[in-house]
Amino acid sequence: MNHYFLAKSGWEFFDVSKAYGLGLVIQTLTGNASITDRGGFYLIESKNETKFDKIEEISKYFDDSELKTTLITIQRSTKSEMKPPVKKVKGKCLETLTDKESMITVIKNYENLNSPSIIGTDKQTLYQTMDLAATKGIRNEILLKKNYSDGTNIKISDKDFALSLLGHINFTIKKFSDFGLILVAPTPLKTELKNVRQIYANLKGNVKVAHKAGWFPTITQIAINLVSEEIMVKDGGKFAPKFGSLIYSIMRKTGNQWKPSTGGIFPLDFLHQIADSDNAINILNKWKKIFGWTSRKNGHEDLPTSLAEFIANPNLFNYQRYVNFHLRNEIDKDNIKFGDYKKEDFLEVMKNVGI
Amino acid sequence: MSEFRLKDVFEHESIKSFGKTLRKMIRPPKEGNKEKWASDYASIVELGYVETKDQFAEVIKKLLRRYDVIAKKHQLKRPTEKNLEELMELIDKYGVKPVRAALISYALVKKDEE
Repeated sequence: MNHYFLAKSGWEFFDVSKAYGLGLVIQTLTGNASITDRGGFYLIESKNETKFDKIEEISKYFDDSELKTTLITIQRSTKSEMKPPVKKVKGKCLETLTDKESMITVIKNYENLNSPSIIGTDKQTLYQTMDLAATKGIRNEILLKKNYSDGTNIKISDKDFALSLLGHINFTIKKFSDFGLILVAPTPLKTELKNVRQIYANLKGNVKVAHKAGWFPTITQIAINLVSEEIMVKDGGKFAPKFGSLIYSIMRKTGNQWKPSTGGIFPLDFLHQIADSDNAINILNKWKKIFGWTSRKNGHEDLPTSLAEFIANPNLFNYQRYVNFHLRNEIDKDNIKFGDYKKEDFLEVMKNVGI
Repeated sequence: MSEFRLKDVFEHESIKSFGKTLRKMIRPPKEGNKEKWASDYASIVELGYVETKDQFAEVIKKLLRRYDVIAKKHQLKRPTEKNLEELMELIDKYGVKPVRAALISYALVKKDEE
């Protein structure tokens, strides 16, 4: 087994994208790769040796539509042709990632656990979409009587940027909505990269648009669909989580400029407890139905919002709130009905609600 | 958070009995396209606001009073005195909020599985 270590720099979105990017390179060169979040670093493992004659194949992972979304802050609109700065970034990244000699050194460097990437002063700008924290840059110390100035852009090395961009294009779920752009990346737990790619492709099909009720129900809808996909990937018949949590960033558009709105980590623990039960499919399907049916309709925001809050934090208060909204929805003659729970399914949900 | 889970409260016999009653009151069975009696929205609203044992007892009293009228007319089973005593004991043990949550949950369980 070959091991590759990627120490975390603390810039979570950048780190996870870079890990997926490196994983995809290893997968391309060896034919198989798994990726694990080990707390302080990401571990990429492969059973096979690297074959660098396959390095050119990496270019097939640069999908133009995904690239335009990832670089929206310089592309401006995903509907227009690819802008020259985006073409330039794409060309530069492809050049970096397909340079055989350079990549041999890069991969060799990850065979040992080294210091994390240096963030701050290098050549390539880390864009807002690739890590919200990069938006405001690093400010110089404001000395007495000096004028305020914005920070300078965060610069990283070309190689770090190329790996992070590759991961971002292929493993970040991106949804535009009325309130902005939602970016979600799952953190891997000993996950085969081919499975992650399959799950990512299925998710794109299952969650087509952002939820009308806002970014939080959208992320919850993605989480439920992600866990449903995890169940489908059998490892010796027993359920084993493939992801630990979801890292998310929300950007808002003000005029022509994109601004950071919020970001965080969405826990998957409760959904995994549900997934590890005999009633998982019934429960997850009901929740998928609630989010799916209300996602494009106005006037149905309360129920998905309360359910999202309950799933993220399954305490008694959130449970009571969700059950009240669900019940009122069923009683109201004019509303879409989501139906009652089977008793054993409901018991499984309640098993996880502490009092 | 205690070692108890909501499931422990939900499975109690008295919750089952009062949960069924509440369900019948707020989601009446249908005869053709028409509900057999008017839905009792008041109980669910009142239950939502109870904070103390006395307030809870008052809401249950009102629920039973309304239920009695319908039960007599449609020959429905009424919760027993023992059920009522046990329900109040549950409040002493777990508090109002978990008991209320468990009761309301019954209204969302499939009818044939009550």
